[in-house]
Amino acid sequence: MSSVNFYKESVDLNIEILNINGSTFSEFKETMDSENLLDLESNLNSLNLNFDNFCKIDSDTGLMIETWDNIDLNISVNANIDKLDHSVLQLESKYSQLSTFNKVKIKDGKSAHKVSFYRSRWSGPIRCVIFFNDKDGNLISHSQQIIFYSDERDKPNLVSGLFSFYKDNFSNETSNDSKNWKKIANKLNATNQIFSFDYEKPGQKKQKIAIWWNSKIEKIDYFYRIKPKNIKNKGTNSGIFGLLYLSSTIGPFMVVLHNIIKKCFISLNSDEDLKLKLRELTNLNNTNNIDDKNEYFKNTLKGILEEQKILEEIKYLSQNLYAEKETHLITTESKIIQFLVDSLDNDFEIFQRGQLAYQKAFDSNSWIDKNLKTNEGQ
Amino acid sequence: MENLKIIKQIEFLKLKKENAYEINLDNPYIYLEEEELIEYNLNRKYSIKTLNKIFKDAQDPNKVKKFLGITDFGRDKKNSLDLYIGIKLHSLFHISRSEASRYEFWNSILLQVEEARKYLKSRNSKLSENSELFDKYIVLGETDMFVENRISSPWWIVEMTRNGDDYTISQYAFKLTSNFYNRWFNSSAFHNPILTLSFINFLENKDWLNCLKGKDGKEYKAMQDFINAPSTSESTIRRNIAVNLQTVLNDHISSNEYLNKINDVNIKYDEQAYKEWLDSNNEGGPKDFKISKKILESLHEEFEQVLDLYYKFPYFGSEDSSLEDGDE
Repeated sequence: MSSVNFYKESVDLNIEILNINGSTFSEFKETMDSENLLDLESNLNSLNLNFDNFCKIDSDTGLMIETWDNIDLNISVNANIDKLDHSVLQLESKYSQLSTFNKVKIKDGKSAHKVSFYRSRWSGPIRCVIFFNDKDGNLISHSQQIIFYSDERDKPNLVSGLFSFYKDNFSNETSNDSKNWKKIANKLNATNQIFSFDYEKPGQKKQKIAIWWNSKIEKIDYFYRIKPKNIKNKGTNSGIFGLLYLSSTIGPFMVVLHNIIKKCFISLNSDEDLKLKLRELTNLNNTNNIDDKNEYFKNTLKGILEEQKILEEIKYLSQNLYAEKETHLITTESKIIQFLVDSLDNDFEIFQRGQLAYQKAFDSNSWIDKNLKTNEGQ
Repeated sequence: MENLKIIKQIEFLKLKKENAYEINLDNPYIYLEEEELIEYNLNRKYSIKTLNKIFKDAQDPNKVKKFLGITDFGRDKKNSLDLYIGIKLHSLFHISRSEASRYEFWNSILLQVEEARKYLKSRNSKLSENSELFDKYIVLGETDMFVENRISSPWWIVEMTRNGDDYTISQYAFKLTSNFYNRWFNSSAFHNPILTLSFINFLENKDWLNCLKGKDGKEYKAMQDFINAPSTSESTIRRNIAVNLQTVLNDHISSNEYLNKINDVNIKYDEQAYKEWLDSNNEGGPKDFKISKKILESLHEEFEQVLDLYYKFPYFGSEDSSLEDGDE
């Protein structure tokens, strides 16, 4: 039995896991590894019970082999409020368009709701609130909201966003002209190498960089197929995946940075007055000029960057690359101005910052350095 | 037998958001991997043949009319088709709420079931090209799935209004037209089967032409004038009241307060019966629960109280707008 108490106003709640897939929780725990169990306790403590904890993962492959089917919980309430007669527990999921109620009597301020979840009925986050009523049905109070995550729908995927990922056997012949990366790999006699990249299909409005993993290499194929979250922070595989991911993406990320820097340089370099102003604004002897920077950005730079269609990208990059909380970089505008000046005078530092910021965003600590041990297993 | 292969949702995002993007069904990398299918609860077999048959039949007006027991579609053809597809899909192609909640599931049908595309084109004559069809019906969010997509939306209406395997109240729901049912998807109150079924049952069974009987005060004059107008039919009154009463219930009254009037608010689902239904091919709905007549009628008094407020401060839409489909 696993449970957690939390307190809100004058209501104590306690969640107890009763059964999972027809087994008692004690029986089910025997099949869980210790890290999953720790995850579960942590989820319970933060009121975000994630039902993924009850899915079966193949220990050899790290792949999910069985999802949860049914879960019974007992949610007990101790409400130190006068005149309560009954409590109504509501479960609600907009993805399943389902809202269920469980009404029970309150005795000596206590009630207990036994609720069951079935995989076929529930999907997405399930919100749970308990309402407290008097004998006439008047609403007296309610609990805080608890969220049960029944699947992964709302969480961002590691491999979505900046790049698209694909796998292919680098040695296979191709007559597809769009696969320039493969031709290059063949020309360089590099079909045994691990990664390559290219722009996605030409003609698309916004071309992402496509990163290709070489499925010819068995272990690379395995790591491509694996669900990253299933191995994150779980030993050597987590470390290897982290290194592979970083090494396949860091080069393409530098290409993204390079393209932005190039556009900035082309837009700004021919305007001497503008360059002078930017250097004046970013002179480190002049750090108390945030208002001037904001004003100059609004009146002059914003329009230039919008015209080049790079405003949003620079905004995002500069916030991550100039994340320090120094006075002269306190606002988004000041960070953008620093990025622009560096694109003219010090692009090397942008790349230096970019490499570190990217690793930070990837959270390489939790993937790699915690999980690569020299004497693992001893 | 050929089964549906579930395509990754990212492909549909690209298709709708990026110019000139195409989904190549021969590319094996566009499909969900086995592990993802397990995780998303989409790892059962979904017969393309069954789907093609349902949508092909839906293009035959005689079959549709025969099923609905009508001789003429009148002005409600699209509504009739939605009702037909909703019930046929639900009773012949058995899927769970969890499966039906996945956007990629409905999108994969759109791309791989040829008769589904033909049906949608026949339902909406303004759509002749597949690109137009995809632009209109690809599901990228809740509104697309519950309202816009004319395959998923009817399924959901039926699922939310069935009383176990009894589709009678689903038929009442479609009669209220999309102006009514398109609104409940955002209302958590109407995600509860007791409240939804009870409300629709109430709207269907009330004698609207005589609803002001015994209410003679001058505060009811506007409502009396509306009911007594020569052009007002009982269905016009019902539709107007349905939309307005739903808004009041949704905006101002929590479902919890309503359900406090019922002693037994817990629906007891028979999960075994539901699983057996999911795995069977027999035509019909699942016998997984049944809300009794007594419970269905236990909220009527509460609805009457809200209704009395509406009679005093009514709002009337036009018959035309209440029949709007949203498609054209």
